[in-house]
Amino acid sequence: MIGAIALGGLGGVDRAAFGQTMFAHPVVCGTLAGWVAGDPLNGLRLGIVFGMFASRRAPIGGAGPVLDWTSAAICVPFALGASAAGWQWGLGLVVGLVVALLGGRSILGLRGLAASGEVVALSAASDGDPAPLERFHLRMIGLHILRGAATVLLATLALSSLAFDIRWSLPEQSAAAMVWGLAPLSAAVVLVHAHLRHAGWRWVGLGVVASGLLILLAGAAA
Amino acid sequence: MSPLPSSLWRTLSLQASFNRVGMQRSGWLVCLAPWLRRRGPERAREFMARPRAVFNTNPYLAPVLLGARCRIEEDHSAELADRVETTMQRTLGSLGDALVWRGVRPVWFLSTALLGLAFGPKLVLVAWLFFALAVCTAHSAGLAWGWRHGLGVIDRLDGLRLHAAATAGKRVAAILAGAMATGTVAWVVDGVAMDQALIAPLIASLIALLIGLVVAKMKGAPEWVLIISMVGLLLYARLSGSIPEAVMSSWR
Repeated sequence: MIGAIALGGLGGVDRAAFGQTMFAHPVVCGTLAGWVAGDPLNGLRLGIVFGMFASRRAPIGGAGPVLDWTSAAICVPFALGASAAGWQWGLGLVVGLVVALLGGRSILGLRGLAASGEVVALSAASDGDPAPLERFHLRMIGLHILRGAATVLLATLALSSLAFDIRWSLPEQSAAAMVWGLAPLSAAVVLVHAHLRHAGWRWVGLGVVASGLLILLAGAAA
Repeated sequence: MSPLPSSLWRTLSLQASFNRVGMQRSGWLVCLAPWLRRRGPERAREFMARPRAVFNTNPYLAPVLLGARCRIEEDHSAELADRVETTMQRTLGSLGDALVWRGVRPVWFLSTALLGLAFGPKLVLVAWLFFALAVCTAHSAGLAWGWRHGLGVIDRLDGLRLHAAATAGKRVAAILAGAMATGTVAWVVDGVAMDQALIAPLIASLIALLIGLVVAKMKGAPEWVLIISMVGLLLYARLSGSIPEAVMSSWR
């Protein structure tokens, strides 16, 4: 759990508040969380699926709804651990979506807090000393760390009790297993749709044809 | 004391106090704080008292503006520096958004994902380290470059052909997205042990996925693909009565 809290805090601050070094990207934090929790391959798979979903929205000018894919990608591997079955990862994927939506709300809440805090800090700094602004800025960095850690902690606890404490029937387990199996396909559709809007069919088609040929050639060589 | 007008931690945390009202306003003032202290209390008071409605630019290119802005004020005048700050934040914002959000970051994500799937998760961490080092280098080099060239930054930025780089990045990202989509089909098919008992659930899954896509298109939010697919699959699993064991063993 300490690992989950630490990764949540680091992801929460790297997401936008400090660095933006891609540590908060689901593919990195999902893989790392999977590694620490004992299942890096499924962590990577989850990170890629969430990363493809996230590719639809670029945070340009702070526009658009905010989703917290970072906390979603960290909490699932930690809640499930090393020996979870496919259906539990499917359940984790769905819970991850809810975490992304709720985590996004908490980010918006923090931005509201920053807006009101900024007014006070700017007024205190109007005599020419920027120290009150610096203190406010550092406090906001701390709050981003706390928000990330708290979101991951709560989500990990909730998902682990959902996946292990509740007895799911076989049909429900099968549906969740199918969600896990086919989620990359649905995420790939979102990814292609996003790039079609920005670059057009020609370039996406080139990638499809080139990689299809590569896969065929590799199959023939094998 | 460093000759540069700011330090790395300040430029890296430009967006820590981001909000919908002033956007990066506080972060920008925090970046400028060491330079303002160096300029003396009179200039700091005048600078802080000036009303700023909003400040917003691309966080990866902001150090260039920061360095150039401070240099212009030292070499020319505060009025010219203010004008350049107001104009260049928009220019660098739109240029940086096209270059970074539509080019560099998608290219990095898709190539990292493809490499991770092909050669294992370790490569994802190597790719992250590479990107993190590149970000830190870009911040400190951008600040030094802006400080060195001052007003000349405007002409030099034009010479860097960043618009062409942004277009190329967008196209490479689209090619990689196509490759990722093909790879995903192969990945999913590969994970399913082809079994007669799986044909019915597979068809049901594809129908659920199609319904999800239609709803996603109508709602304009991709999350609906997964949510509707899941509800459809759950209904199928409930109504079909007998669920083949193959489903549980294949989709691990």
